[in-house]
Formats: sequence, structure tokens, C-alpha cells
Amino acid sequence: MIELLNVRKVFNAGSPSEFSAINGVDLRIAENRVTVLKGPSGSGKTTLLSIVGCMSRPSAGRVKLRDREITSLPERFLTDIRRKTFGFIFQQPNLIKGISVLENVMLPAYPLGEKRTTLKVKALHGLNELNLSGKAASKVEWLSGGEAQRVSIVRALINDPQIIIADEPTAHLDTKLSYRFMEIVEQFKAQGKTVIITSHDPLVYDSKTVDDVVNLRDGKLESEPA
Amino acid sequence: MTPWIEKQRYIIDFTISSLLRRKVKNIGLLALYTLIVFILASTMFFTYSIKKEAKLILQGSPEIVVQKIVAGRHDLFPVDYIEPIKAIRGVADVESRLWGYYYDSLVQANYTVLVPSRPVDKSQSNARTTVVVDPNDPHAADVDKPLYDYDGAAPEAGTIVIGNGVARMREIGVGDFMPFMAFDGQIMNLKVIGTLSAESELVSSDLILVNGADFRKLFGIAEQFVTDVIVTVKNPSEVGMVAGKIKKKLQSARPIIREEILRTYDSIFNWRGGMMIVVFSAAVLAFVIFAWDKASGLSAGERREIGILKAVGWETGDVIQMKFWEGAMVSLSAYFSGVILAYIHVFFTGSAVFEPALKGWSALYPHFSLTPYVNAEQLTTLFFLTVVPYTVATIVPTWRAATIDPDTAMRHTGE
Amino acid sequence: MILNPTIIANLLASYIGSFMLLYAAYYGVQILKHWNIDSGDELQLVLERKTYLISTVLSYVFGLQLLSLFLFIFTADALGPLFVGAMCAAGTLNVNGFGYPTLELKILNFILAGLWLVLNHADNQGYDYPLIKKKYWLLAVVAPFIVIETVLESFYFLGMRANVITSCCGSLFSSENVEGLGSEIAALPAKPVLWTFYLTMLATLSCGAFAYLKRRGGYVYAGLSLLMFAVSLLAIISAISLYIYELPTHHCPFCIIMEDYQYIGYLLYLLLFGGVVTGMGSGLLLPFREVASLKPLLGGIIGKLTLASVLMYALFTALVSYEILSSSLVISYEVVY
Repeated sequence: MIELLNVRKVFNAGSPSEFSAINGVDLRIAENRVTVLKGPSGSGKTTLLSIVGCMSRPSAGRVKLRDREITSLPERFLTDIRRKTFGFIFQQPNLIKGISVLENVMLPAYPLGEKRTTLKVKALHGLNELNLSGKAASKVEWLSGGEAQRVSIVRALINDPQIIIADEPTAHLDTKLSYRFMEIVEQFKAQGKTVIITSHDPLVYDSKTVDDVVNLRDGKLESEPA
Repeated sequence: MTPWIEKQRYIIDFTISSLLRRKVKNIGLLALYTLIVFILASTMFFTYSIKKEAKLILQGSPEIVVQKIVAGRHDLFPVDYIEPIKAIRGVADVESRLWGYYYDSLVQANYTVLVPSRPVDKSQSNARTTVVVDPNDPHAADVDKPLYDYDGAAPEAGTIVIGNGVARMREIGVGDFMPFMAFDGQIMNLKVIGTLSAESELVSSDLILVNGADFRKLFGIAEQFVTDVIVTVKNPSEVGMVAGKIKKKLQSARPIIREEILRTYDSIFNWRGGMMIVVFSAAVLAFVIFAWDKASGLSAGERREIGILKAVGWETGDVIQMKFWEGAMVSLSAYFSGVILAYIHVFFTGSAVFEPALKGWSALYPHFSLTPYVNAEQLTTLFFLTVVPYTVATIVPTWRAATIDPDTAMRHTGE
Repeated sequence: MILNPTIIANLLASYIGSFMLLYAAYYGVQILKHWNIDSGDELQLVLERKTYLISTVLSYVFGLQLLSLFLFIFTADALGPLFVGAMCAAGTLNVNGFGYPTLELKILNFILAGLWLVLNHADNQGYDYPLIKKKYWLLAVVAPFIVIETVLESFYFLGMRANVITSCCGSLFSSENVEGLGSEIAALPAKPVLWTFYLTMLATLSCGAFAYLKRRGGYVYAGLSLLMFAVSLLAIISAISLYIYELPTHHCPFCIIMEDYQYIGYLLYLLLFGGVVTGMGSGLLLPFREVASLKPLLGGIIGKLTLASVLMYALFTALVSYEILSSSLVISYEVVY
């Protein structure tokens, strides 16, 4: 479904501080599977994830999504693909403070100009699924860590994406909440979604839900996926 | 509803909530912005309504004023000149006038002393204005004297009628005596028998009406001279021609046409208003720099917020639109509150704040309220002088903010 | 010069507009030089970001250009009393040789900026920046015009001397005076001009409708919309204004934007300007119909532009007809409808 061919990402090219975060990565991510990108910090996991998730463009190489070449698409097209195809769950919940949970959840759909009533129904439904229906009107500041993350998951799902991308999702969660997260991942898989996670948490990459593990070190793949 | 409109609504809603979340920062900006609009709007409202007022007054001023010029300065006008002017075809009437300035060393103010030539309703010209400005006088705009409800009859010998400004300054009223020092050093005590109406303050504040004989005694002017004359023309379209004929017949005479005076007024007030704008442009510039700085100095919180928006699927263009609405809201609130405050300031409180700078040359400064006069030209000009610079100053910072990398949200650790 | 707040506002707008456009053009040239869509270099990413800046700047310039066009006429009108014989903008614009050229350039630049935005909009629809080079070439062409406009406008305002005797709209645009283009237009007989106006408009509208429905004859329509713009201006001066002022001798294209005529001129001119920008814009996009990345969308955009243009011209005609019919002016020696 997603194919990376000899992808490189160089920062500060041409200056003394030049460094390359990704050095020629070839990777195929299959549909309806849970893939974990594993590696120590600084190994380029997040950079790779942002390229996979159409957040940034590689300096060289090609990226294909469903056999469509998307490497050099202008940002507005990339964004359009991104918001319809990917849902993002970050290490931090990254919620916007001062507005309600419901508004936070609806945020990614604003640029699409969907009708307010339908969007609201969708958002409330999503919150309900993750037992957050009581929190819709509360401010983000009042949420517990677990709740905040679940809100960010609902937000990731608002545009009904095919692919869920999670960057170190368990880094700030305790064991119980981490297991809860993996259960949610399992649900995604059951719904036919593709999940890509970066993590160096054994609880994640050793989980039976995970289909493929990709090892990354110094911007290169260490071995073939298991 | 089309998705585009729906999208704008979402963005506007979000912008409002985001503005409200940063009240303190935005209120500072808004206050300064409003102040700038307020200052400029006050200046403009003030000059424009004074201009308008002056124009209205001048509508009633004589069509032609004839002075005598000697060596480029204006001189006493010989009574002998009147007959030749009367003889010109098209001239309906010629009225002679006596007026001048009197410096009062006690209060250090200049009064305008004037002899009303005849009651207004008997005057051919029907002009209610009796003193004319000298177009070369930089303070010309301040010296125009309609008498409104005063009937125009000259006071009897030994008595005077004074303007409100004089009355205030000297703290005198009807029945009091006012001493004058005549040209030969003699003291003349004249009795105040009336004050001029308050409506005419702008122009009659420093006015003193005297009897013709007293006037000649005070300034030492012989019987065969007057200050100048006003000419009434039968057919208004012949004013220019008659003025030309006067000039031809009496080489040393200078006819001044009403339209010239109107133009002079306009120029003077344009110039004054313009000067004020130039002076305040420094303030506008400072404000623009401030706005630029404010817009580019995004706080960590805002940066993070835009990062999140971009990460969850907002596009650069969407963020630019958001910032556009933000700017529009700030600008419009500041613009309208500034304009409304200025309106109140100028038309209800009499421009308390900078009256001196705009009106001022005389210590006898009129207290009066201007007739509200605001037109589209003033409002557009204000818009161009404030909103446009602000908007332009924020384009580049806006764009910078909008092009924050979407993956900053991923790299962001720590709350 | 006359130091008047409105003049300062005009000059400020003009300088800001020029400055912004030069700024945008500078980056436009960078883009022309270094653009490489296939590269993922940081330079390319930076340039792609700059395109957002440039289109934002240009949108503002476009808006500013429209506003300043009206402000300019407005100012010229308000300054009338300062000049002997100048009763409205027509006379004031004539106080020196820079008035009318400035106005003409302002109109031209407004249209050019509008066309650029049309091109930009189309380009943004393609996934491979199909028109990027053309777009920035056009920008490089537009920039000098705006600068010239600013220079002329500065000369115009700075060179103003109050009390200079000028001709006013009464003589400049009246048929008695036979000098100058203005009076030649005014001297055209009203009735034939109206006929020409209505016939050309009929041709333009039907061609537009045809182009919209059948997707053919687009170039003809673009040409006609430009012609129509000129014909309409001419008709306003020589005939339509007479009906609005209800005076058989007052040929003036400016007074109609004044309060005395309910600001009807703003609406008329907005429709006219809108009509010509969208009409010519549709023609501008025609050559790119076959560009692969634009093929599925461009037809729709061209159609929308054509439709918008036709509607604006139609509305303009309706408004003009209303003014003529409701006018109490009857040109005695001609039968007017």
C-alpha cells in the first residue's frame, strides 16, 4: 500500500551542520497490517514516519501510495491526501487548550468544510466509542493523561482514515493504559485499517497484534522485516 | 451551503476562540491600534468639519472684496475709489468697510475690531460676513466674521458689542467698561452693551463691534479712507469679469473673489490636516513596526498550536486564511472603535485632546461644538492610512507562521 | 504639492502596492531560476513555500488596486474645489499631464493583477504546478507597470498646484470643445452609441452563453469581453451618463460614483471590471486545457469564469437599461426607446 524507494532525507543541506536523517530506505508497508518501526532515539524513526505520513517530502527517492507517485506533489495536494488517508496519534496528545474536547476532535475536518451537524454527529459517535461521551463539552485541560490520549485518537479518526500513524504512542502512558492502547490498535486492525507505529517499547513491538517489525538504526533499515 | 463557506465559518469560529484565548496579548494590540485610528480619525473629522463650517460661512460672504495695494501690502482704501467702481456695468452695490486688529497687551490677545456698515437686511449683498480674509495671511481661516443673530447695526458712539472670547478673557459683560489705548496713546473707555451669540463663536469669539467714529479715533484713520470695500454683482456669472474691470480701472486695487477665498480655505485646511497626518505618520510607522513584531514574534504556545493544526491536516493556505480573518477582525474592531471614539471626541467633547494644535493661533480660542460631518472620503482615507499598513505589515509574519512544518508536532516532546 | 490626508493615503497605497509587488516579483524570479519540481531539496521546498507568500501578496495587491482605483477617482473629485474651473474628477485629473495616464494604468494594472490571480488559481488546481513558469513570467511583466503607475501617480500628486486653471468636466467632456480624446468620445451621437452598445452586448452575451454551454468559441468571447469593456466605457461617457445625470450635456464618467447619484457608479464599474477580468481570464486559461494535470478541472474553471463574466455583463446591461428607462431625460431630436 505504501512503498518507499531509496528514500533519503537531508537536513541543512550544503551547510556544515548538514546531516542525513534517512539514508536510502526501501520499505513496503502492506495493507491491513500493524507495522512497528523500531529503533533507538535518533535513528530516524520519526523522520521516516513523517515521510510515510505525507507530512514532509524526502530529499531524494520516491514515495508511492496505492501505486500513485506522491513524492513531488505540491503541499496542498499532499495535505489533502494526508487528511483523507492518514490519522495521526502523537507522542503527546497535542490537543489545543482552551477549546472543548468536541472542538478538538472536529479540528482536522474544518478545512474540508463538511456540514456542521453531520460533523458533530460523527465526532460524538467517535467519542462515544472510546467512552468519552461525557467529556465532549469539557475543556482539554481537565482531562487525565489517558483521556487526553483517547481524545487524540478520536481526533485522528474523524476523517475516517485508512491508515493510522502513531508516533511513540505509549511513551507517556503507564502499563495499563499502554495495554488499553494496544487493544484499540487491535480494533483498528479488525476494522481493516492499516496501522504504523514507531516505538521502542517492548510492550508494543512484542505484542501479538503487531504483524511486522522494522528495525531502524542511523537512518537505515537494519534487517529485513520479520 | 457550499463547503467553501462552511469552511470559512469553521475557520472564523476557530479564529475568534483563539483570539479570545490570548486576550492579554490581543487587547494590547487592539488598544494601540484603536488609539492610532482614534488620533487620525479625530484629526480628519476635525479638519473636515471645520472646512465644511468655513465653507458654509463663506457662502454668505461678499462676492468681491476690493482692497488697495501699495508696494504689495494692503493699504487704506480711498473713498474716492468707490464711485468709479459703482460706475462699472454689472455692479449692483458697493459697501465700504472699516475693520482692523487691536492688540490687547493685558491678556496678550489680538481682537478683531469691526464697524458694522449697515444693518444686514438693508445690505444689497445680503452678506452676513463682514470681514474678509487675506489669502496671503497664513491665519486667514480663523478670521471670518458672520454675525448671525446680530442685526448688523453699528453700536452708538462710546459703546461696543463683544464676542464671547473677549468677554471670557477680560471677564467682562454687558454694562462694564473696557479701556482701549488709541493710536496716539490716549485711553478710550468704551461701554459694553452686548455680547455676540454663542453659535457664531468659531468666528466671532475675538470680535469687537464699534462705532465708526470710535474706530477712526482709535486707529487714527482719516474720513477719506476706509479699510476696504465689498462689491455686489447683479449677475453671479459676471463676478470674474467685474473683478477684471475693477483691476483695469484702478491699478492699485486688488479685487478678491469669493471662490478664491474658498479655495484658500480649502488649501489651508488640507495643509493643516496633511501636516497633522505627517506628524502622526511617525506614530503609524511605530505602530506598524509593533504590529510586525507582534505578528512575527509568535509565542511558543501559538507556534505549537499552528504545528498541531498543520499536523492534523490543515494546509498552509488554511492557516493563512485563519490569520487573514484574525487580522480582519482585529482591524475592523480597532477601526470602528477608533472611528466611533473619535466621533464622540470631536463632535461631543469639542476635541478636548488636541484642539490647540489644530485650531490654534489665537489666545482667544473659541468654545463651540462642530456640526457632525463625516463622509465616505474621510472613512476611506482613514482605512488606507491605518488598516492597509497594518495588513501589509502582517503578511510576511503570517506566511512565516503558516509555513511551520507539520511534523513539528511530532518532534514536540514535553508539554 | 497639496498636502491633503487623502492624497497621502493615495500615495501610501500606491507605494505599498508597488513595494509588495516588487517583493513578490523578486521571489518570482527566484522561482523562475531555481524551480525544480522533481527535487526534494530544501531550496525547492523553500521555493514552494514562497509560492504561498506570493499568491497571498498578489491577492492583497489585487484588492488594494481595486480600492485605490476608486480612492484615486474619489480624491480627484474631492480636490475639484481647489482648482479654478474643475468641478469634478474630470477637471482635476487634467491639472497636469499625469492624471489620466495614472488612471489608465490603474485600470490596466487592476485587470493584470486579476488575470494573474486567475492563472494562479488554475495553477493551484494542478498537482505538478503546471503553469508555474508562465505565472511568474506574467508577474515579471506586471511588476514594471505597477511601478510606472506609482511613479506617474507621484508626479501627478506632487506636481499639483492649487488654483491652476483647468478645464472641468463641463468643457473637457462636453461636445462643444473639440479637442482631446475625451471630447471626441463625448461628441459621438448618443443614440448610435447606445445602439452599438446594445448590439455588441447582445453579441458578447450570446457568444458567452455559447462558450459556456458548448465549450467553444472561448477565445472569441475573451476578445469580445475586452471589446465590450471598451465599448461600455465609451457608452458611459457619451450616452449612459447623460441619462443618469438627466442633463443632455454632462458627459462625465466620474460623477456617477458620487453620492448625488446614489453611488450607482461603483456598482456599474465593479460589474464592468469584474466582467472583463473573468472574461479575459477564461480566455487566458484556454491554451492550457490540454495540460494533463489540469484537464479534468480546467474546463469547469473556464466555464465558471465565462458564466461569471456573462452574468456580470448582463447585470451591467440590466442596470444601464434601468437607468435609461427610469431617466426623465429625453433626447429631443432622437427617439429613445
